[in-house]
Amino acid sequence: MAQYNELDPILHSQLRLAIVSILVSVLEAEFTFLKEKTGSTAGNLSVQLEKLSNEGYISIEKSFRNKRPLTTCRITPKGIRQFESYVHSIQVYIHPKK
Amino acid sequence: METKENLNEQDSLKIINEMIATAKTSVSDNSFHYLLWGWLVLIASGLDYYLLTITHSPNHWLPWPVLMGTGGIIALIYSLFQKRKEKVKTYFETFLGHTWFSVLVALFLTAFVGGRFGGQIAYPVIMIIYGMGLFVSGMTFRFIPLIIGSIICWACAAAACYVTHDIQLILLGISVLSGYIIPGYILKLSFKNGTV
Repeated sequence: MAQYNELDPILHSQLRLAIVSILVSVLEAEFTFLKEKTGSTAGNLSVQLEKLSNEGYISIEKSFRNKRPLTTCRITPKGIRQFESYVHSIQVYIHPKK
Repeated sequence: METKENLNEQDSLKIINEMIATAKTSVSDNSFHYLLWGWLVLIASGLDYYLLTITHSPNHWLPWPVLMGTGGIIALIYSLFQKRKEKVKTYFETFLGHTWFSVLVALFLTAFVGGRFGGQIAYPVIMIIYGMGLFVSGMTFRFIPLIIGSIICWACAAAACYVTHDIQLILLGISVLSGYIIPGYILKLSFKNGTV
């Protein structure tokens, strides 16, 4: 009988999953890079980043470059664990063990 | 992209695959460094050869500190400028950055080997170190011209152990031409055509 785990509601959202998938593949990424790659609006991206940060999945560093605000995001060890667990869960859904 | 919550498993996998692929391809064009150092070493070895064999100058080594020092300043300014434009830091590029920093330190220390034991011992070591940097980059990048260049560098290093100083300079020229200049132009062209 296959063991179906409940999918993590934080990651089970199109934009948040896209953000975490990018951050799991790079060391760090700027806000503009995430916006460009996900094709989301700045406002929506900000809200989702904040949510992921509040849950401890990513860390956000705010600084300045050439007098302009710069937001840099990194995935945290908790974020990596949750992402791996999420991937494992969807694999179980797709290929259930009998 | 929206904040769609009712994803199915296939949607999730598609997003993960697409985003990982898009992040992995975010590699910046670093052909500038290959071309800068390739041309500077080629010019320095050419001038050294000319001063050594044609004019028989005792200061035939002088182009090296002048051109390498100039190269260091140009590379530093360029890197600082590029860093400002960087939107993402990949594991791959960070790893290569550390590799080339260690290559730079090894080359700098080889200058001491040359000063203490003579240039003839230093040149094969320089070509071995060049080959190492190129091989690691080529394998990580899966870029064949760099791998071929590294093998040529190592072959030249082996040959340089058995020839005179002036011939070593020619071998060094061949090394940088095949390991830096030619792959540098191919890399530049690949980025221009979007094939990297």
